Amino acid sequence: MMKAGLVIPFVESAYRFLQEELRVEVTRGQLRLESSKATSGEVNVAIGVAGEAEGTVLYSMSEKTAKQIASILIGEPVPVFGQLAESAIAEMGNIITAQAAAGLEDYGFQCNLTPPTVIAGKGVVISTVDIQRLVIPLELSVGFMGISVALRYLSKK
Amino acid sequence: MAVAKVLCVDDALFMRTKAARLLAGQGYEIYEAVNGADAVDKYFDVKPDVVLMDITMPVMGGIEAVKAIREKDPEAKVIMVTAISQRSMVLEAIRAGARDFVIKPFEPDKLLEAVRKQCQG
Repeated sequence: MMKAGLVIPFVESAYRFLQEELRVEVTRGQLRLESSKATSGEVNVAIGVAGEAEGTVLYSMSEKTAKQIASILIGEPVPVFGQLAESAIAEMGNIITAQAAAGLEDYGFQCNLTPPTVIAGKGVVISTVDIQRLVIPLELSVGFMGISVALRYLSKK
Repeated sequence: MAVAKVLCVDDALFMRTKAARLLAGQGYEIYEAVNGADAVDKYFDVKPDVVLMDITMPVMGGIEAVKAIREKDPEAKVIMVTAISQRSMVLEAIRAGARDFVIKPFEPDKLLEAVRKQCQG
């Protein structure tokens, strides 16, 4: 069962990274719970979570947004979404998720992460199978990014 | 002449590039490894003065790599550079022999200071 309160570390971690590292304006939309398959953006970063919380965290955005974010992180223009840009976007997902995982530890959930996977292409559909996704829509000054947190938590005694 | 040799270990091309550009700009000689196993091989080939080591990597993770390097070279100077700030991971890395810790996303000055400190120590 998804615990809505435990999404707070992800929201906080995303805000910290986006505002402090990218220095972009961030506006959060309404959180929503989804069970259907996710129609993803053109660029997606998936991070697996295992341990006392398990599932997947997805970061989805358009290629244009991904190129703009990568450009800020790399410090030079990114005309083509190549290997270095892909790595920069993956690392953004990795850092946000890792910091959120540290936050989850404060709630008493210890977990490990897998290295990030980038899934790029138009019309990609991603399923988190039987785990509901809590979607955090973020409007950035460089475009839109959706964070889907599909985790189930081991009940604590 | 190079200031010192630094081995940057990270599966992420972006992080290796970022650290390499920063350190090369300060006169360090940079070597790169893409995972823990690659790092162990390159460590004994290159004999770097300092290693910057990520934790979560495919094939072999950073903590395992630190243990493997320190087993053969107890004087190895390894700085963990990782997004993972979980207490349990920090403690495990220190127990494995890491000398310092820099949290990603790193501030350039903090990374340079950590490398300088190890080079002097």
